[in-house]
Amino acid sequence: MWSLHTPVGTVTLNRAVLLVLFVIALLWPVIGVGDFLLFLGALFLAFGLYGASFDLLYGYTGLLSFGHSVFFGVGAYAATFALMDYGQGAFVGLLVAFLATILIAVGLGLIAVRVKSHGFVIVTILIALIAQRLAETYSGITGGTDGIIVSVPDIWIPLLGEYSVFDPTFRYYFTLGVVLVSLFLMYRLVISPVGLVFRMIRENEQRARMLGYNVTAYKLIAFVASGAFAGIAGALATYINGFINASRFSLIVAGDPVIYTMLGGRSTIVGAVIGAVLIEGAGNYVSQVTDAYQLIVGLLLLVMVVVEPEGLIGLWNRLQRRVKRRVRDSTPTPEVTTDD
Amino acid sequence: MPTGEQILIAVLNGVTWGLIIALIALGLNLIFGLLKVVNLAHGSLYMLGAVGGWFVIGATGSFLVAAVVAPLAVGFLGMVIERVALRPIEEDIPTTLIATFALLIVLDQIGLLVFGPGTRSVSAPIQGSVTLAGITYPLYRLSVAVVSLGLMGALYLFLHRTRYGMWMRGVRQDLEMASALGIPRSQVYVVTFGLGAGLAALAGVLLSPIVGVNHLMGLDILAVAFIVVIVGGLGSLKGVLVASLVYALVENIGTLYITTVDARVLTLSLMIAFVIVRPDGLFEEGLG
Repeated sequence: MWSLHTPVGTVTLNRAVLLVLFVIALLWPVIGVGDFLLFLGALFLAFGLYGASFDLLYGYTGLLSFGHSVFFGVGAYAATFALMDYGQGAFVGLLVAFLATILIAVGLGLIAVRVKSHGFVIVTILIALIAQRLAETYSGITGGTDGIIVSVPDIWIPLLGEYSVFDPTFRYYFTLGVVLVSLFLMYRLVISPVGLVFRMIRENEQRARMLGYNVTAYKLIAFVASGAFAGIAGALATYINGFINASRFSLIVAGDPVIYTMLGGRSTIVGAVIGAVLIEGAGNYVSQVTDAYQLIVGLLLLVMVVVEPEGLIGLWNRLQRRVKRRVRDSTPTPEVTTDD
Repeated sequence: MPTGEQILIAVLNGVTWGLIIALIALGLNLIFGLLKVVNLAHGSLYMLGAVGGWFVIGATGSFLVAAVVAPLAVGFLGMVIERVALRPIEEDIPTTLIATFALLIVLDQIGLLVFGPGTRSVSAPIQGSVTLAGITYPLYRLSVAVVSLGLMGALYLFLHRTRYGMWMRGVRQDLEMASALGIPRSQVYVVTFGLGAGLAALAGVLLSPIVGVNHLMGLDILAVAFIVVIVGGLGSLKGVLVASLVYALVENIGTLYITTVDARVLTLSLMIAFVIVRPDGLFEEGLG
């Protein structure tokens, strides 16, 4: 396969594509896309982080959660309350969102990971449905569907000075920074020994248990870590929107990260970000044309999982394998079998 | 303090409500027991039953026709769903869950597109009320309870006295052995899904005069159906019936003392507390 050896490492095709995407993300404000696209870019990055947090749980540990809207919503509201009721800054808001979701995730996780087999899925969707109902009912706290306007105070960045989140370029880079750091931390987690246990649980839970690992504890760690990053994503999305309402807890929101991850490709972390940008980007235009936007997204997800459960990255890999095979078949030299 | 009459009404409401929930959750658990698929779109099938019934009543003016046509149509839809969407991925259970979630979105959106937002009421086909032990109770609700019981009896007979029922129990008990003995597994799956979908739709039609028709009604019932399935034990039909009745009775009696929303939250919390103590539910899996 195509690859380029450089002093800093080998650049394969996959890495080259990722690098290009990364550079585009980095230069997005510089290439003059306008304020609205900067706003959308920041928002989609936050959604991408939301999707990636789901992938951490589903893609690596095999735990399918339809309750991530709870973490997204709790993070968003925790940050909102920290900012609006206690006058804290944006970074403290993120920290509060992080800690509040951890707290909630430990509580809910203790219930969810203990239920056997597919009970986990059911419990998470139950949690989402109950949270949705509570958020609508107690509109005095959540602001109901009318919501709460969130004004984010200026953010002081060490060495660089103070910036307003109403500055689209700063808002974009602030989001990009937080998302990249979060993605990096998640990536470190999944390649760590703990992440290895996550994957072992996904592949063969019984064997993991037999080898003496406390499977329940590891599942809880995955659940809590995943929830905490979803909470940060929720807080970020609120900063960008400057607004929050009870529909953060709706089941549609719970399905979003599932769709991002399935479209982008599971067990990749970055796939969910690509999926989020594609879906939300397309949705932004489609929803202007038709009311049936959610219907189209649902159908897309359905077709996707039935036809290509590995998502776009799966399609991409399959395409690469096909090219590789064709190249190999046309070469007469005896082949050396290697593992991919 | 609520009077004895109020308590009696709450108990009657609880039993009726519980039997209907059981009807929906039985289909859910039947599908899980055989296909190992947690059908997240089950509430949407219930909603489609009610919406379909509303349209049939509008066209024919007959509740009875609606109660036959809508469940049959939704049952057929369920069979198509199993064949087209679930069959290709039946080896990969998590993926089937995502597929049924996608179906939930799709069906609810279709409900919204054809039915529109807002709740519409359906008049009960049986008017009047009965007086017993000093209280008057709507005759229709009693009929719903009786019909639900009858349907559950019919389901029991179907599972134990018919060829398909025997096949279903066989596939569930030992898939490989059943296949080796020539039981058409795929056909059994299709019928099971269709049956579950039809039962949910029928429950939707039966409940529409009591709760009204709304394109989001599926989500409400989904939470309740899932909690009784978890508490009753995944795959256990007996457990579902017991859990449904307990859930509905606690909730209905609770509303005598606290608000409706608080009663629901309290009941769900109690159920979840039960799940913490006993994660596997009331009964182990068993088709009986």
